[in-house]
Amino acid sequence: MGFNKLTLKSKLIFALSIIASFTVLTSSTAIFLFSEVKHGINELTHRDIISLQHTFKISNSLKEIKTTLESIRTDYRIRENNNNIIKLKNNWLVLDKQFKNLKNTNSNITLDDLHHTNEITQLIEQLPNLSQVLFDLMEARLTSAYIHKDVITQQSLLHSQLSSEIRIVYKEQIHEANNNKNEYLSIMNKLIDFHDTSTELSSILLSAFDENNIAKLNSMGRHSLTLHNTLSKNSHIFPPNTLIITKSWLQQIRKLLVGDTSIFTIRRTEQRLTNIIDTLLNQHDLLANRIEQESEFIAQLLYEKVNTSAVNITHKLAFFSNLLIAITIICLILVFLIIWLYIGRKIFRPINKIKNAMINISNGNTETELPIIEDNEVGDMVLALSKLKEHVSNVTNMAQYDGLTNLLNRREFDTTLKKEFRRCKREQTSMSLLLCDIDFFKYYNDNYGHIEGDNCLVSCTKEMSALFTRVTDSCFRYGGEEFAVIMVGVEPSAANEMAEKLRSKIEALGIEHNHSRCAKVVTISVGMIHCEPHRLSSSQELLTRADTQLYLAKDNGRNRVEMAIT
Amino acid sequence: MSGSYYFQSYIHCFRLISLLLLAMLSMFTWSQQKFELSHIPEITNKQTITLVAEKGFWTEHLEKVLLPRFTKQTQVKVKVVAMELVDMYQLQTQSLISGHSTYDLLAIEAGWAKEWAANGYTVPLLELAKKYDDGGEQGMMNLLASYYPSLLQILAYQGQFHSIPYNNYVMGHHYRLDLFEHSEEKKQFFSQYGYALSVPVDLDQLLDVSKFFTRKKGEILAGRKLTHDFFGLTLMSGNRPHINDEFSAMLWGLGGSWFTPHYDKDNNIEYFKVQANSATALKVAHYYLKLLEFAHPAHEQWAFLESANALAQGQVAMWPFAYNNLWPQSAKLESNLPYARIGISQVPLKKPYNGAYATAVSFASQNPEAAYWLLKYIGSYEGQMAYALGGGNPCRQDVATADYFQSENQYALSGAFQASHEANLLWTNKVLKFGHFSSTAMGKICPELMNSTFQIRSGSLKPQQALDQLNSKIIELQNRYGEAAAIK
Repeated sequence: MGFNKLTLKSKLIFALSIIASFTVLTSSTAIFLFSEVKHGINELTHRDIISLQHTFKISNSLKEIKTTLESIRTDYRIRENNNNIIKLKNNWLVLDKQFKNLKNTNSNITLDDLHHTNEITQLIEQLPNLSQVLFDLMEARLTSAYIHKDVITQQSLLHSQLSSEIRIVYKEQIHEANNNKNEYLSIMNKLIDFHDTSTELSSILLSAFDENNIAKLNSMGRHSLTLHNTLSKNSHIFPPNTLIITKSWLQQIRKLLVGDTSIFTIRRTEQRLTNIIDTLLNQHDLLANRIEQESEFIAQLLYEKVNTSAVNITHKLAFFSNLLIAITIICLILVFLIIWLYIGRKIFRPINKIKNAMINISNGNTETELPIIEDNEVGDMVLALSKLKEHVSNVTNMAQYDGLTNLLNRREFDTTLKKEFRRCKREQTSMSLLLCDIDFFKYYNDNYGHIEGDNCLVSCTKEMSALFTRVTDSCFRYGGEEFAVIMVGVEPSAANEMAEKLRSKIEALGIEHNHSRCAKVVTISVGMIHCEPHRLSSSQELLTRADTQLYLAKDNGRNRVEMAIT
Repeated sequence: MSGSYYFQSYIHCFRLISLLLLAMLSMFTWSQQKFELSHIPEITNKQTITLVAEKGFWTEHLEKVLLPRFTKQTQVKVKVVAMELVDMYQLQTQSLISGHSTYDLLAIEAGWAKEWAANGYTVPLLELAKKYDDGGEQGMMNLLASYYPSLLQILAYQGQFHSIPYNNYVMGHHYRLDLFEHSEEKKQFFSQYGYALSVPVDLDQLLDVSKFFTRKKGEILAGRKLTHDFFGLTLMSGNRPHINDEFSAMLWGLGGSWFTPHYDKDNNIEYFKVQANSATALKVAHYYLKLLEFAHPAHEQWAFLESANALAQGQVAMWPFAYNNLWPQSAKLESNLPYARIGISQVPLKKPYNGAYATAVSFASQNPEAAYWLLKYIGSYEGQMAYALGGGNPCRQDVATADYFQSENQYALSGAFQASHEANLLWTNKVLKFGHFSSTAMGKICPELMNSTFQIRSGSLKPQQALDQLNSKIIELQNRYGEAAAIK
């Protein structure tokens, strides 16, 4: 794996980079999530809430417009209405601006502001015309009020005139008694007819002020003209002095019947212009109502949107914080895994293994397994350690084994004896100690040379090693031609048999030893002690007793086994 | 005794009921038959009445034939005041405003009929009928039933009939039939435009045909060498009201309108939507200017008579927006140029300008009874027949479609009657959808239409400017002088 070939430094940098990346990732995520929430809050505050404020402003402007429209409808004063028209224009302009602000603030609002602007512009364009029509209406109303007063005055004038005339005729009739009675009766009847007709005419003229139907006004106009014509025809009944006044009255009344300033023309104009103004103002009302409905709808939408946005932001915040926690945990786990799996396993664990191996080796445990590591630097360390281990092993061997016979040396014997003695004593197990000595080996060396002597020793120890193969059996080179065998957990008879076997096998080797005084071949004397260690005070005692048995065997002619049991 | 009494009572009742039924039947029969001079009852008011009439054959005919008959029947003398059409409005209005009974019977043009009715200058016909007619309102309704509904609607005010039309000036397309039928011309047209030569039915075709027939002096037209410049068409493009009539016919034909009434649920006009500066109006203006390129040169007074003469004298191929009451003038073509033939069809786009001169009783009349009966007599079959025979364009369907006028011999007189009849029927129940025919302020608005259209024609204003200005003006005038508001 290429990764393993990286240097330790590179690995550490790599690992730290990944950890740093996770840190950056977590931080970036946190920043991103924060900005998202911030954006949401910004939208809420800078767009929706401000939009909502705009709709409230629109609503207020609409109220202003409606109030102004109501003023125009109810205020009959020309100057006030001119001001109201200017106010209405400004109100619409403000509203239009507010619409544009609303649209600019919140592009998501499906608002046909352009259409409204066009409609508002059209209404504003018509305002001078409305103003003119209002002025005409005001004039018509003023004229109407003036005429109304005039009609009443004219009527009362005529009636007082007629009444006095009728009284005169009545007196004359009484005075004249029978002579001209019929003539006076006829005149009086005509006067009464005139009076009735003029009353009817006045009544029509007065009722025209309450009539709103143009067709009916026209009909009344025609009828009143007919009545006037009748009155004009019959006016000759008056005496000359009264006739002038009557004719004057008829002329005055005629002005009220025909022409541009007739009652009917003025009332028609009044009615006509009222209808037109109502329609024109209704156009303002209609647009205002429509905009009001739309702005209420938008306000409701915005209100719901603000609520929804607030809930969304809360949910978002909760979700983001959970997400952040989750990401942090995941990053921590990943960092931990990186540290554990990568730094721990790939960096520290091999080093640790090497450390343990080094400790073991330093403790002389040359059997310690060295870790198999491919890494460059750690691999080099393992390689160096394996060489060290080899050196330690060699030194240890040299310290424990006899160089010639490859048996454990005397120092090992002393250590092992003490150790086994303690163990057998602890475990209450029996043990046997054999001490062997090649008979007359000094003579052998003297006569056959030291090389042969060494060969003899090697041959004997081979037999010994081949015989004592149990794990619990240990063979030692005790001294020059002396050997020791420690056997643990064997019966005395078995130990004796093993000792006898050793003796006989060495004898059977048939190594010529002409200078031996006990045989022609190389033989050994064996002193053996079998003991229950708890019965002895120390391993030294065991050794002394074994040595005694060895001397006994020598004393008893050599090439023999002397055994003692304690 | 009692049985005999009851029997006699039954007989009496039976007789009474029979007489009543007979009287009702007689009344019904009487009311259904055509009104005649002899149906006029005794008129108590013998005061002389005054009638306004347009100068010309009609005045002469009235004075010579109809009025003497009326006077003989009623013993009421009638004075005729002959006026030029152009003077009628002003002279009569002055009299009406002052309330003087100068005129008992008024001559009214459709353009101001509603205005006068709204101002109360004219008396509703049914009100007069109720007062003076033995047949009551039905007597008048029976008379009006013979008239074109479209004309009555144009003249009516708030559903009330105030006047009876007598001179219908619906438009038709007068053209040189011989040119359209000439094989060489047809061949050339086809080769130039890729479709067959025929009387134009739309404005594009009108442009093509106008262009095609426009020739210079010396060129060949229908196999003859021209001795003068020849033009595709003539338009009434002088600074007179008729230019507006041409514009209007084109505008309506293209589906537009100067202004449109909107009615409420009670069928009263709620308001007028003014669209004088619409895209359609602008389109019409551009068409008009293009058509002028192929039109007979027109001075500032150039109108119907000049156009009719241009056609009659063989100077133009078409008078596409001609008044059909000018047909006798147009038809002089055939006598002026024996090789030429006159033809008539509906105007391109089939929305001819329409209207009529009418007669109404003045509110100031001192003898409304006699005025009513004279009005009814003039509007009778006899009166309208006399008008048609004199060369006028009748407003009664039965007169326009009378067999007498269908004969070939009468072609020069009544050749346009059938086209007028069809055109009038085309407008039935449609006129009140146009502000032009439903506003009471048309008397004020019409001159503005003329001014603006002439400004376009003369180039003194760009079409859009002129139309924008017109739009504002219509709103202003309608709102100041009309009965229903005008809005943009």
